[in-house]
Formats: sequence, structure tokens, C-alpha cells
Amino acid sequence: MSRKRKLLLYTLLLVVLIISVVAATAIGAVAIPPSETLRVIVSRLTNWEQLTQNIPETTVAIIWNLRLPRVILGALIGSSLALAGVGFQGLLRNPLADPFTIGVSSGAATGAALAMFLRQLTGLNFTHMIPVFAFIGAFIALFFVFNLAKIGGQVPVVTLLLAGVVVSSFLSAVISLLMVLAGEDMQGIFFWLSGGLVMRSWPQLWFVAPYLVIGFLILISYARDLNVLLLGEETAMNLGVNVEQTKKILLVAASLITAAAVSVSGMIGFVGLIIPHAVRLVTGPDHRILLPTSALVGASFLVWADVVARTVLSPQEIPVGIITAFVGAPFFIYLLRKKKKEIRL
Amino acid sequence: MRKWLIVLFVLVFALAAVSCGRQAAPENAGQNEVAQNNEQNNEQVEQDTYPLAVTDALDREITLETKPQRIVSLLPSLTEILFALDAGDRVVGVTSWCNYPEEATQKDSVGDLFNLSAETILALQPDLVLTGRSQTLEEQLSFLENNGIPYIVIDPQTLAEIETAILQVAEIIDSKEAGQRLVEQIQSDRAAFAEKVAQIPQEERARVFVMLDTEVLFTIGDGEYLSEMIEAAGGINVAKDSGQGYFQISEETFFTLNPDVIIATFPMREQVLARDSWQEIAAVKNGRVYDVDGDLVTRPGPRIVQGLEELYNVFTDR
Repeated sequence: MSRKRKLLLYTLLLVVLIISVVAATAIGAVAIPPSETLRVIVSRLTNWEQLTQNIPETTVAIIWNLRLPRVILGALIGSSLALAGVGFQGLLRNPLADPFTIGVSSGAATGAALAMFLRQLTGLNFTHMIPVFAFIGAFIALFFVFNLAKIGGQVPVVTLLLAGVVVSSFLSAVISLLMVLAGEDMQGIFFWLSGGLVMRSWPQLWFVAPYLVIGFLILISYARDLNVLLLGEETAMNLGVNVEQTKKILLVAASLITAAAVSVSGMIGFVGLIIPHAVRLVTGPDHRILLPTSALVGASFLVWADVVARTVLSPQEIPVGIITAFVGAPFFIYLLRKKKKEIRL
Repeated sequence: MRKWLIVLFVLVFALAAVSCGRQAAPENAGQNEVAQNNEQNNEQVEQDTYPLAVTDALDREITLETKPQRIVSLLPSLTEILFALDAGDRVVGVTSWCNYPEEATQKDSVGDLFNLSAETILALQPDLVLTGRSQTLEEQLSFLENNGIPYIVIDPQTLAEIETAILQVAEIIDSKEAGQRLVEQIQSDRAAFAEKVAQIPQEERARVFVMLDTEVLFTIGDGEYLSEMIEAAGGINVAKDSGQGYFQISEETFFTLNPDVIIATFPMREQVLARDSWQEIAAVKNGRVYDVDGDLVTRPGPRIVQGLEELYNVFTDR
């Protein structure tokens, strides 16, 4: 892809994302005129208070405390899941891989479940308690997977996948056990298992944003190595890539992104699997283009999926994972048929 | 290696056999005693009343040959009814959810309606199982029919159905008088309570939101027992027009409803009050977020008026 075309692609996708965010903030269960939406946002951003003088307080709260943070968080989560998906698929050289494959997300869910269990049991409670537990859980899971998979200082992809699947199913059993022990007092655990952006606001957004940015920067700077890894580890080694080191760094970066995303929004399915493949079918397998493009597409995708989840049954809501599956699967099949290409990395 | 495995197996089996035997022995003894006592006392009544034909909540026809002496209850509200009818001594098994009255927790637990231990139930040798509804009830309880143990489905879901349920349980266990007395007591308590509620003018009634989860905004609409309780206790369920039964309400709609009071049936007051984005909600602003006793307000049983009082106190606490 030439430099000019790349620039055009990014600009286009960025514009789509910005329009998506603005439009999604204007749409919701409660009808609010777009002009009021815009006035609330501008007035809050610029501290220009007269602008919202004749707008009801509830409207301001809905736009500023609910919709805008939720839409932005949706964009961040969508882009992180897509990024982590690209990372894991490239790293594991497996088209079935997604951010949830190697057990990091199960670790996060177990952490969240444990936090809720402790809260019911001991009354222990502090700000961000559940996300913090989820985050720690994700990294404990990663630590186990990594050490289980390690054979003589190396981490072969096959054992990594196997260890991931084993740890994942073990942790599912732990969650089930916690649910049995807690009985009907386990409010909230279902949220982490199916995922969503419900009841998320600014605090959750600030909690995850830094990790997403750091993870993205690491992945992007290793895009070239991901490309070389696709040729096989031996070839990569011969081409001068420190394979084991690179795998470790990529693993931690992709896990960091996944852990951050799952710790506030649970396991939203399909985004991390579908978006990388869909983008790859269009842009080709070069990770230098694939990574940023997937991030932008994933962001817009989840923003719109959440708009549907918020509004389709309004005033009720449905879990966003249902929408991502309903939209993602047919779209994916369509791309497959149209491109008449095999799915590959 | 193999030798050791065999030894281990033998040991495990021996242990299992010993522990089973130990459990079974006193059970049987207890049963005989109870049976003997009641034979003497109730022989006359029993001949008049039983066999008793009953039609249960699923329109099943059940015939009870004798007066039930060993009852297993699979629903907390039915357990409460049985104890309120002074039939606690005839209850031999309850669910792990049955936490009232205190004596009920002393009874053997048979799991819960989603996760029953068939073996425990059979080991208790019940002559009657009282249960609520569940999606898979017939598959779950087929083992009872295979063993000739009758089960009766009684599942009060509304305020009105509580009294019917009490009368039906009373008839089944041959405690009609106690049933009549209990129902009369509840009716007079409810009438007195209704008078108290009628004095709250419509425009002063608390607009209430029910929180069922801290992570997802689940609430209840019309057709749910708690919603009926709220209205009967002088509150207004703000979500009643947004959906039926249990459903997830949009947070934006919740903001526009702007409830005066938020109640939850589990501890969550501190978490709700600490939510940054909810500080504009009237209930949060005024600190009117309450953890109510979930058993009292969601269990359609004999403590209904206590449940109504609990809600009334919350609604009028200003």
C-alpha cells in the first residue's frame, strides 16, 4: 500500500470514528435534540456555562455522565479488543485465536468474581475494587499460562495455546464454584461473563485508558516483527529477530490490553475475532497497516453495536455481546463469500 | 502402585459405607417414634379426612392416603407457612434457602430448587414433598414418583395468592383451624396496614426504584411480587411502565425517572451512594438508598405484613 493510500485510509476511518462518536452520543433511549447534545458537550469542554442555561439538569447528566463516557469507552474497548485480537492471532499464528483464547480474560473474570464474593462475605469495598481484582486476576492467569507453556526457556506456540485452554477451563470451574458458594448473592458476575458497557462512566474510562495506550504503542512498534514471525519462528530467527524475547513482549502487551478491557467491560465476544479477519481481507496481512486499521474499525464497530444494544428495545437494554454476534457473524460470512478467499493470517 | 490403589479403594468404600449407615440409623428410629405418637392421637381425624384428593398449581390430581408426617419443603415461603401452622415438627427436610424461622435451619437441607439432592430427599423418607414451580420440575422430581412419594406444587406469586396457599397447605396437612386463624390474623393486619397507607396522599408517595444488581441495571416491572408489595406499601414502582417481570432498564430512562428512593434486597447502599455519575439522582442526592430485608419483601409467605411495614418505614423515612 502506498503512503498516500495509507494516509487516505486512516483519515477516512478516523473521520468515520469521530462521526460515529458524535452521532452515538446524540442517539439514545431518551430523545434529546442533537443541538442540545452538542451544546452540552461544548459547554462542558470549554467551561462555558451560559450555553446550557435552559437545558434541564437531567439532560446534561444523561449526555455528560452517561452517554459520552459510555460511547468513548465503547470506542476504546472496541479498539483494544480488535488490537489484542490481531496481536494474539499473529503471535500464536492461529486464525481462531482471539483476546480470550489464552485465559487472560478468564483470569480477569475470576478476579472480578472473587472481588464480588469477598464483598458479599466480608463487606470489604473500595473504589475500583472489581476492576483492580480483575486486572490482577488476568496477570496471575498469564503468569501461570506462561510458566506452564515454558519448555527449557522457550515458549512454543502450541504449548502456549494448550496451557491457555487448560487454565481457561480451570478458571471457568473456579467461577462456577464461586457462584455455587455465593448462591443468590452473586449479583454482577453475569455481567463479566457476557460483557457490556452498561453503567460504565468516566471513572472506568480513566481506569483503562492508560493501559490501552501503552499496549497499543508496544504492539505498533513490534508490527514489523509480527510480520516476520508469520514466516515461522526459524525464519524469523535467521532474519535476526530475537524470537523468544519478542514473543514475551507481544504476549504481555496483548494481555495488558485484554486485561484492561475485560476488567471494566467483561468479555464482549466476537470483536477480537471478527474485526482482525475482516480488516485483513481488505488490507492484507501487513501488521503495520493491520494494527491501526483494526483499532479504528473495532472502535467504530463497538460504538454502533452499543447504540443498537441501548436503543433497539428501549426503554430496556440488551447485552451488547448479542449485537456483536448478530452483526459480526453474518458480516464475516459475507466477506468470506464475496472475497472467495481462505481465511488465513 | 496398583496394590496401593486397591487398598485405597477398599478404604474409601468402607468409609462411605460406615458414614451412610450412621446417617440412616437415627433417621429410621425418629420416624417410628413420630409415627407411633401420631397414630394414637390422630387416628380418628385421619379416618375422616384421608384419603384426601388435592389439585395443585399445575392442575395435577394427587391423592394423599394418610396424614403427612414427614414433609420436605422445597420453597422458603412454604417452609414459613408450615412453621406458622405449627407443623414444624412434621417437617424433615428444607432447602438451603429456608432461613426462617430459626428452627427451619436445624432441619436437614436437601439443596435448593435448582440443585436438588435426590439421595438426601429419599434418605429422609418423606411421605409428602411440597414444592414451588420450576422450569424443569417434572424431570427433577420424577425420582419421587418412581419411589411412590407424592409431591404437590403450591406457588404463591401475588399478595392474594398467599392466603389461598396457606389455606391449601393447612388442608393438606390437616391443620385447617390453624390455617383459618393465620389467614384471619393476616387479613386483619393487612386491613390495619392498608388504612395507614391510605392516609398518604397520592402525590406524596415515594417513587421507588428496585436495584437487583450492582453491575447491570436490572429491575422489576408489573407482575412481580416485589412491585406489588411496593404499591401496597404506599410507594410507586417507577419502572413499572418500562417493562414486565425482570428486565434490564436503560440507564438514561432511569435518569429521567429520577426516583426518590432506591431499594435493593442485598447490601449495596455504599456502592450506589459512591457512584460519581449518579450524584444528580434524587435518591442518591438525599441519601435515600436502602438495603431492605430481601426475604421479607420478596417471599410471598406469612410474614407479608412485616415485609410491608419494612417498605413503609423506608418510604416514609425522610
